[in-house]
Amino acid sequence: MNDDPDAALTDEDRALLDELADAIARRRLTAAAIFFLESMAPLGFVGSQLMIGLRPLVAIVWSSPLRWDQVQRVLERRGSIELLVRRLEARAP
Amino acid sequence: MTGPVVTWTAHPARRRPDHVALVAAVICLASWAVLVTLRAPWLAALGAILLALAVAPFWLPTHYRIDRDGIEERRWPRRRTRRWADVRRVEIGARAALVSPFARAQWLDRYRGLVVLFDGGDRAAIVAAIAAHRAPAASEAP
Repeated sequence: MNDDPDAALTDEDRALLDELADAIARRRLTAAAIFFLESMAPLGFVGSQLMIGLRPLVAIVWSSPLRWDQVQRVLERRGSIELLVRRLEARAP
Repeated sequence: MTGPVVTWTAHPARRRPDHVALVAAVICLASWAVLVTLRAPWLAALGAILLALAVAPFWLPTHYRIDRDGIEERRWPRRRTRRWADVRRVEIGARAALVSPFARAQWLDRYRGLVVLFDGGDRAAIVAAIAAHRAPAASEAP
């Protein structure tokens, strides 16, 4: 029971997940977000690769989409969506 | 933080063979109803498969482990764990307990919570282990 995916993340990645979870909780969308993420979790890696494909388009709007790259890097990791869901659960009313 | 490590296997179908016949009869009846009303054998087969999957906790053995880190549930093909630090609510019933990450009851409990079947285990020991491990984790939580 010790294979915690949280250990593989950097402090910046953890801060990003916390920030995302806070933003969702502030909008009172935790239940909807948990349901969505739970159903889409198997496609997390595919989503991250899609983000790589879309990066040139994003770069037209933002010259240096650092946050985009960070989200892509986090999504690429197995279990990262579960970590976000757990953060959302902790913020659920 | 120490406490008892409890492991057991819940397999209701093996311990209650009379219920196996009942479940099989319900699945067969539902499939037959689909076949007769819709005249679609593939839909009848799909219905039977979906019903059988829906009662997988009854058919398939589920291995549980409670230790100082959390609670683990293994049932083919998946393994789920829940750390004590993430547990915010435990509801104890006669045949099962719900270990939930939500403070209040909500519909997501069904998906995100762990339903711990007492079948095949010592209910008193399991309840005691949950209480023993959960109390220190709750006091350490921010």
